[in-house]
Amino acid sequence: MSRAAATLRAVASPDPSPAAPVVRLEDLLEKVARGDEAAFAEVFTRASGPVHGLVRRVLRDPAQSEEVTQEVMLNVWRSATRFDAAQGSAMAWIMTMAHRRAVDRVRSEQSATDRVRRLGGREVLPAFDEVAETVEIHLEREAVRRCLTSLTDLQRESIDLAYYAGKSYREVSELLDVPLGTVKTRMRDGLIRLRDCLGVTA
Amino acid sequence: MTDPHALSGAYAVGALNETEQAEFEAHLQSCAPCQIEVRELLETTALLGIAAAQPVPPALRAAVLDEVSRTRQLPPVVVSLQAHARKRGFALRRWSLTAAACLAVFTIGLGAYAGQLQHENSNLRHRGDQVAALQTAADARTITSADGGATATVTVSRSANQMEFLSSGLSMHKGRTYQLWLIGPNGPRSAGIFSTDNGKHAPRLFTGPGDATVLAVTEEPAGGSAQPTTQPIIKVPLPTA
Repeated sequence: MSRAAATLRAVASPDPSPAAPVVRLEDLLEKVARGDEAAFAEVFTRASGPVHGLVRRVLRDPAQSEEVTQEVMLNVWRSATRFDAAQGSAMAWIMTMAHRRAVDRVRSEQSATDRVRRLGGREVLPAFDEVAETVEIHLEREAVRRCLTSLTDLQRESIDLAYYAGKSYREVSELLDVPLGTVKTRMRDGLIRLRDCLGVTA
Repeated sequence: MTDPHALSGAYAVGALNETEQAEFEAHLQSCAPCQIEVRELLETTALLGIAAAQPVPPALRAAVLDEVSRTRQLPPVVVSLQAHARKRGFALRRWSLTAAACLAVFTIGLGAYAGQLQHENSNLRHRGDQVAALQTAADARTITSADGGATATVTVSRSANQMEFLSSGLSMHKGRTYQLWLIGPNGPRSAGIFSTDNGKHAPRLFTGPGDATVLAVTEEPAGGSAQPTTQPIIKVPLPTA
C-alpha cells in the first residue's frame, strides 16, 4: 500500500489504538448505502473535518461554510447508493463533492457581487495551532506542505488559486498574468509532481 | 478545444467551467489512460483537502444526523444499468427472461391485471428515464432547504430540463393536499399535487423546471387549485445555470 493510501486509510480511522479493527471508509459507505445511520455517524466523524476545512478554505465565510458542509454531508448520505469504489477512494469521492459544492457557491457569489478576492496575504495552509488536529491529519498536512515546496512557484500558485480559492483557470491566468495554455500545463505538471511526492496510486 | 488530455489537471483542481467540465467528462469516457490519470489526480487533490481539515462545530453534527434520519436516499444509479448489462450481460438477460415469463403468466391468468401492470411498468420506465436524464446531466445541482420542520430537496438540471423534488416533515396530518408550484417570469404554474403518508416522506416528483426560478409548496383544498391560495410552506430558489 502506498504511503498516501495508508494516510487516507489512517485519516479515515481516527482511533489511535493499533489493536482496533480498521473499518475502511468504503465499507462504511456500503452500509450507509443500505440506510445504516450508525455507519453514517462514523463516516461523519471521519470525513466532516476534511470537508469542513476545505469548504472554509474556499468560501472563507464561516456561516456559509457550515451551510455547505451540512449540504455536502447530507449529500453523502443521500448518494452513498451511487458511490463506486472502482472509480476511486471514498475520501476522494467525498472531497471532490465538497470541492465542487464550495466552488459552485463561490462562483455564484462572485457573479452576483462581482467580488474580487485579492492575492496578497493569503497563507497556503492554516497555521498549526488553528486546528485541534489528529496525528494523521498533522502528518498529512506536513507531507502536503513539504511536497508543495517541491513545485515551481507557478505550479504551486496555479494549484493553490484553483483548489483552495476556487478560481477557474481563466481567472488564474489573469491573476498570474500567464497564458491559458501555460496555466493548464502547470496545473497538470504540478499535480503530477505532487502525486509522485505524496506516493498516490489509483 | 485543443488537446483535451491537457485539461486533466485543471479538471482535478475544479478549474473548468460547467461546459468544459462536461466536455472533458465526455472525453474521459473514451480515454482509458485519462481515466487513470484523473483518478490519481483526484486522490492527490483529496490529500490537499484533507491537509486543510478543521473540526466541525458540534451543533452541525447534531443537525446533520437529525436531518439524515428524515432524508430519503437516492436510488442506486439507473444510468449504470447499461454498464452493468455489459459486465453482467448473462445475468441480466436471464433476469429479463424470468421477468418476461412472469409477465406472461400474469397476462394469461389475470388479463385485466396485466394491463395495469404494464401501465405501471411503463410509468416506472418513464421515471427511470427521468432519473437517468437528471443523473447524466453535468449541470445537475441539488439544493436542500429547511423551513419550520419541513425539508425540501430539489435536484435540477437546466440542460436536461429535469427536476426532482423530495420533501419530508411537511405535516403530521394525514390526507392533506399539497401543491407544487414553479414560479417563473409568468407567475406560478402548478407542477402537481401530492399528499403525505402520515407526515412521513412525500413521493418523489419529477417535472421540467422550464424557466422557473423558484419552487414553492402550498397547502391547497383537495384536488388542488389553479393558483396558490395559501402562503408557501416551502420556497426554494432554483439554480439558473
